[in-house]
Amino acid sequence: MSIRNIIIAYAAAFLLQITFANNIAVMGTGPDLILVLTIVLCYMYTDCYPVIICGTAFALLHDLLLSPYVGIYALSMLLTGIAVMFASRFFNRENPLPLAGVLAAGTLLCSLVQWIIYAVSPAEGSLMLMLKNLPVLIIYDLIIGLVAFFVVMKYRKRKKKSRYYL
Amino acid sequence: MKWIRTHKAATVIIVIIVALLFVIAGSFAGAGDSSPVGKAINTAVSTVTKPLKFAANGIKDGFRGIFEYKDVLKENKDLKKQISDLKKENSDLRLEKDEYAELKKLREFLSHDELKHSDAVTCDIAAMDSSGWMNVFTVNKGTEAGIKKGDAVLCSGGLIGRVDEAGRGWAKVRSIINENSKVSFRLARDRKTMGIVSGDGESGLSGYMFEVKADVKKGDKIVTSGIGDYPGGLTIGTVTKVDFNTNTQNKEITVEPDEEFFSAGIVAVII
Repeated sequence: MSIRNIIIAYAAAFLLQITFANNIAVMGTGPDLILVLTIVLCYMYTDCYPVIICGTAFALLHDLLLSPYVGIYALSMLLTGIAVMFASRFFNRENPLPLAGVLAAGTLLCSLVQWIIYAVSPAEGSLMLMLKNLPVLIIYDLIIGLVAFFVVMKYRKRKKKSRYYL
Repeated sequence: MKWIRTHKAATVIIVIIVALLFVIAGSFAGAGDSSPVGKAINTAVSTVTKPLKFAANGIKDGFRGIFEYKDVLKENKDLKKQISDLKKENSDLRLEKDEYAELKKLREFLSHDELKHSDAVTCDIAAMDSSGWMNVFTVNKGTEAGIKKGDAVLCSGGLIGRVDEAGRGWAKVRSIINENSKVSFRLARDRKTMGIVSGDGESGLSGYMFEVKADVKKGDKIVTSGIGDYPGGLTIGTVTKVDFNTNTQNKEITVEPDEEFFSAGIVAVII
């Protein structure tokens, strides 16, 4: 995936996240589209560094706009991206089944990293509250992640037909 | 140096991690205030998101109109009833206006600042995210409208939060349902019965009464007490549950805010 397409995908996910995703929230929790995109792209592509850096940049933007403290979501996104990059080496990248597990584990890891940073900071972060929101967040991320997986697969198949596809 | 040359990607990642750790430390040291660069980025992003949020709300309302037609009709009926109740209340209040003006004069004479004049600025919610648990949202007006850190934010149902940070064209609001937001309250019917509520992270509030024998029951309305960050008399919500916690020896309450937080599109900031 070209860097231009990665940036476009993240820009779309970011704008949807802060404007629309809230409208489909269940019990006060909605999907995390930036995280989903990072996990899916890191899982599907071998060259993950542009994805991780782009995901971190948009997460930082999200922090600036919608977080009391800047950098926490960005750092958790970066660490989740790296973890998914290493984990995906053990799976068949064209199989959606392991992706479901990676999505759930990635969402959990991202939330845990955020909670740990909040817990050691003066801001206070409740583990119980984070765990309470987690099931809905994981379900949402699973659904949207699998949809994104099939969309990217279709895009890749179309690209493969091109004689210049690498 | 050789390691850096052979591991360029890993070096970049390590540099980013270290930079982010500095950003986080700086953010905590500055109590969440953004740098001038951060404020400029916030202004730019708020400008872009304003029409998108408006469009998203339009789509949501459109779908709601189609699929929840009966609910919309019921809501319309309830609102009409509310308007007639408010008209009646308004006429009653007009009668008390003269008494209030007299009282205000008297308080000013005594240099009491509780009743000092305050204005409200209405704003649209420009960005909101419900994937995290911090419940922070951004509104489309900021320092140019006189909004500053610490201002109380209201919606039609009452208190919704407090301005955490403001810049040109934007203000970051931390809602009262955030678990770190603590609000001192009193019962609307009794000034002496007080307590503290904080967010439960979902869409409600929970807290405790200062006195174990406090006369609080289900259905009681609570308002801000005026102690702490918020001005007094702002509606917070309705008590839905009262329990006595034997471990903490506290009378604990659960409160439902009068406004559904995630559906609030327009808010007012008291400046």
